Amino acid sequence: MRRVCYFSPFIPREWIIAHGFSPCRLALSAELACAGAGAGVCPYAQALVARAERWDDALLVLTTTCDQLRRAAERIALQWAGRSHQDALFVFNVPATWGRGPREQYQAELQRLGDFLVRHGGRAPEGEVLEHHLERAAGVAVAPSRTAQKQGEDHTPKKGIPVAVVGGHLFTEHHMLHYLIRNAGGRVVLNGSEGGERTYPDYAGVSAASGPLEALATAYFDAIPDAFRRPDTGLGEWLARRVRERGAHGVIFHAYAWCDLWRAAHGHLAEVVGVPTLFLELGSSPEINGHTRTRLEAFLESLA
Amino acid sequence: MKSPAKISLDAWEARRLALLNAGLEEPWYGGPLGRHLEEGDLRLQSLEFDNSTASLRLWNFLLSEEDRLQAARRQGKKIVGAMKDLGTVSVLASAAPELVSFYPDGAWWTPCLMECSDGLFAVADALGIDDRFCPVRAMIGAFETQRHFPIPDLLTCSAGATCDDFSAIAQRLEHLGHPILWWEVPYRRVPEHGEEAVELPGGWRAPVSQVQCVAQELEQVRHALEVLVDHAITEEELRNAIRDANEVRRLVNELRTLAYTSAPCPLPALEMLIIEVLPVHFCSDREECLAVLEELLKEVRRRVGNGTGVLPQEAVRIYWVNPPADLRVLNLLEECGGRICGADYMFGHARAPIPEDIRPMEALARLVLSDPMVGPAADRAAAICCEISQFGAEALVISRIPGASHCATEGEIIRHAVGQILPHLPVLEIEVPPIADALFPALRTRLQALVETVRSRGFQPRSRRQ
Repeated sequence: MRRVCYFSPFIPREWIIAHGFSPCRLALSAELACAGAGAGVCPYAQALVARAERWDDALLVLTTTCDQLRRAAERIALQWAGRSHQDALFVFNVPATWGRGPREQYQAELQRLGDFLVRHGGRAPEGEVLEHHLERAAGVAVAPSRTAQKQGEDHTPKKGIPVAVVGGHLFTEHHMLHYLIRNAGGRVVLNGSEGGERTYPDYAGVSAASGPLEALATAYFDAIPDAFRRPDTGLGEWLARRVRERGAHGVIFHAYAWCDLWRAAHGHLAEVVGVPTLFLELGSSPEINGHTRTRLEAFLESLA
Repeated sequence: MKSPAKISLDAWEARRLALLNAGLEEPWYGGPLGRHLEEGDLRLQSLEFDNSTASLRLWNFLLSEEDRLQAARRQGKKIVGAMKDLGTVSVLASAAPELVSFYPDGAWWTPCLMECSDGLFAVADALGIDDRFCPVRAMIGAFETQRHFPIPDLLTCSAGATCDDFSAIAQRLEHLGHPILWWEVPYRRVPEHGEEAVELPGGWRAPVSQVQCVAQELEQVRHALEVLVDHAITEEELRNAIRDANEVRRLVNELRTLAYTSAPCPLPALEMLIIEVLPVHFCSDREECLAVLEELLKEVRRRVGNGTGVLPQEAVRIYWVNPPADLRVLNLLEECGGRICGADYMFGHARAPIPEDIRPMEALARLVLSDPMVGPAADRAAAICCEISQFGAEALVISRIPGASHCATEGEIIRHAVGQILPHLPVLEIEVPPIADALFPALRTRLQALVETVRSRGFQPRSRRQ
C-alpha cells in the first residue's frame, strides 16, 4: 500500500486510510538539519527540505501552519521540479482563524486532499467505509488521551516533580528531553508537544453520521489548540486547565531557533499557567547541549 | 528654479526660507523639516533629500501623520488600525467618511527614524519579543507607550498566509488588552486542473473558491466598520472608495514609470519609497495624498521634459526587493553609483488597480490574494523579473529584514527563480538592520562591488524614454 507522509496533526490519518493509503507520520532526525541551515531558518524546516532531497515514491502532505514550513514546501516543490515525483507533494492550507468561513475552508481542503489521493491511485471512500474508519479513529483517539490522563493519576510512580512539557515539533533525538527531565528529578505529567496529547483529535460528541468532512472538522480543526491559531486563547485555556488537572508544578516550553510562533506564545502562556515556567531553545544538533541541560536541572531544583 | 539635487536637512532649512521669501505657500502641515528632528526623528540629519517643493510637501505629509490622526479623533472620527493586509482594509474604511484608517505596522520604521531613542525595542524586549523578531516588533512598543499614534477604536489583522513574526506580535498585542478582529487570508495556490479561477490584480490567478472565502472574511470586517459608524456601508460607497483608491494608485504607477525608466533619474530612491507607501492607507488623508502625488508628478514630468535629474546619467539601474529597515541605505546605494529602477517593497498589491467592473467586495478579495507575500516566493520572483525587464534594471538587490521569517528562505528562492529567467543578472543579498551605521562600510563595499560588476560587464545605462 502506498504511503502518505505527513507530520501536521491537522491531517487526519483516517482520511488517508479511507482513501486506501497508508498514513506515515514523518519523524525527522536532527542530523538532517545540521548541514546547510542558513541564518534564520528553522532547523525543523531545514531538516524537512533535506529529507525531501532523498525521497522515495510516497506522497508528501505538508501544511501552511507556519511561515517556515510553508516556505519549506515551496523549496521542496522547486527541488522536485522535473523529477519523477514532482506531483507527489500536496500543500494543505490549514486556516489560522476560527469561525464558519475558515472551518469551511478546512473542509474544502480535506476534499481537495481526497481528490489528490484519488488522482494518485486512491479510491473515493464510500459512506459506510468512511464511517467505519471514523468510528475506529474515534476509538483510538480516546485511548491515548485516557492513558495520558492516567499518567498524571495513580498508576505511575509519584516519584519526581510533576511538570508539563509544551511546544511544537521535536526531532526524534530531542525526545530525550523527557529522559533528561526524569534524570533531573522531574516527571512529565502532561505532554503538550506536537504529537502529544495536545494534538490528538477530539471525537467526543462527534457523530460520523453528520458527514465525514463535518466530523473531521469537529475532531481536528475545532479541537486542536496551537500557537498558530488566531486568536490562540484556546491554547492558553487548554494548558492552564490541564496543568491544574494534572497538578504540574512547572511548565517547560520548547521551541527551535527561529520559531517565532512558540517563542512569542511562551510569553503569554507563562502568564496564564499559574506555575513557574522555563523556555528552552533547541538547536539543530542531535545532542541537547550542556547549557540547556543545566537550565533544566536548575529549574527542577528550584521547583523541588 | 534650482536644478534637481539631493540636499541635507540643514540645506533644506536655508532653501525653504528662500522659497518662502519667494512666495512659497505651504499646506497646514507644512513647515521646516528640522522640526521633526527636534521632535525626535534623529535619522533625518543623516539623510539626503530631494530639493523640490513637492518633496518637501511629501516629507511633511509623511511625518505629520500622527497629528492628523489625533485631529481626526478630536473631530469625532473613528480610528481603524488595520494590520498586515497593507492596502485593503484602508480602502474599505475609506468608504465611510467618519472613519480614518492607518497601519500600525508603519511603526517598524520608527526606531530607524528616531535612531532607537524611542525605546520601542526595549519595550518589546521586556515583553519577550526580542531581536529574533522582525523590527515590526516596534509596533508593540508603540501600543504600550501610546506615544506614536492614537490607540485605534478598532483593530483588524489578517492572519493565515502571513509572516510568523507579525502574526505572533499581533497576538501578543491582543493579550496585552487590544482586541483584534482577525480575518483569514489563505495561502494563494495554483488552481487545480479544471478548477474555476480568476485573474488577480497583479496578474496571478487564484481559484474562485479562495476569492469567495476572502470576500466572506472581508464582509466581517465591513460589518465591524458598520457597527463602528452605526450605519451600513453601501455598495455605491464602496465603488466610490475603490475608484478613489485607484486614482491614487494610477498616480503612483505613473510616477514609478517615469522615475524608474527615465535617465537621468528624476527623483531619488528615498522619495520614491515614500511614494510607494502612500497607497497603502493614503497616509490617513486621501484627498491630501492625491494633491501631494499630483504635485510630485508635475515636478517629475518637468524634470523628465528638461532632461534633468538628481543622479548621474550613468547610474547603474538596480531593482530592490523588500523595504530596507534603515532608510539611509537607499541614499547609500545612490552614493555607490546606483539608482533604483523598480522595487518590490512587499506591498505591490497596494498599487495594483482594483477591478471596478465586479462587485466591490469581490474586487477587494482579489486584491488581498494579489499580495506578493501570501503566495509562493516563486510567483513573487516571476513578477520581479517582469518588472526588471519593464524598467530595464541591470542588477538585483535582495534586502533582508533581520529576524523576518520570510527572509530566511525567500532570498534563495527568488535568486533561483530570477537566475532561471534572467541568468546573467547580478544578484546581491544584504541584510539591513534598523540602524545600519555599523554595517555601512561593509554595505558600501558590497554595493560598490555590485555597481562595478554591472559596469564591467559592459551594460550601458539606458532609458526607455531616451
